[in-house]
Amino acid sequence: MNNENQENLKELFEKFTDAEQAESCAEDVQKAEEILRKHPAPEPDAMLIANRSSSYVPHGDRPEFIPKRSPQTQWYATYLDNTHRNLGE
Amino acid sequence: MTTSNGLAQIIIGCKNGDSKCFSQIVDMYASRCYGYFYRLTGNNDVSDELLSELFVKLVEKIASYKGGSFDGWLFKIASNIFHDYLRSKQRRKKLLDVQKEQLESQFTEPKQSDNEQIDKLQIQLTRLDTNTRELIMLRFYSKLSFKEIALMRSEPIGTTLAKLHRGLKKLRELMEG
Repeated sequence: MNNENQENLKELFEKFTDAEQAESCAEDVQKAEEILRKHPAPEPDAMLIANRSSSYVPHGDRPEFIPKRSPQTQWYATYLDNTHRNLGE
Repeated sequence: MTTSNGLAQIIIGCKNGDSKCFSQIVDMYASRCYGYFYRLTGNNDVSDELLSELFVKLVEKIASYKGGSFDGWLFKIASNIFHDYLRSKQRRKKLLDVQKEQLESQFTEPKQSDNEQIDKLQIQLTRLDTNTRELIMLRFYSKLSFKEIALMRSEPIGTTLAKLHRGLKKLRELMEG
């Protein structure tokens, strides 16, 4: 009874309980996780992700990126600019 | 599906400031991380903000990633962001002096925005306590093993296993009831 994490759930539960109960517990977990799979969460907005993943550019010679288009993270660009200004860069 | 070797190369690229590699990470993890935030908050707009914050943190912290499970490392940051969000809501709530309401129900109450439909699962998830709900979502979206989750939560694996089993069993009863 392996799950997608390649764990043997029954064996795992058997470390803490008897074989019969371990099998029942493993089955409970698998059935509940099947319910979760059947009810996928909404996806993030594709356009937003496309913008986000393409909106990071190297900042100076450091391995940092500034989100230049995403309004939600615009504060970060401002924060970095201010920090660099204060440091006299 | 990116192999672990492929992922390692992408992470090295991120550390070296390669924006293409960073884009790849965003593409690879956006869906799962968004799902994690959505199932915990029940709100598209909040999930979007938290996802943005996660990627900003990723940029800030990638240099400190020293190997091991990248998913575990990333979801630990996601979990911290969610807890910060809960705390900020709590502070705001105190400032507004709203009395005697269960914080949890307010945080998790599904709020519909335009064209958004709350599914049955989201409704039933609000009936679980925050800790249990987070554990279930961490397990489901991070795809970490029980051992890794226990390590992340600094608790014995037996405790993690028992909590998750109890939570999933209850969720299943709620969904089937």
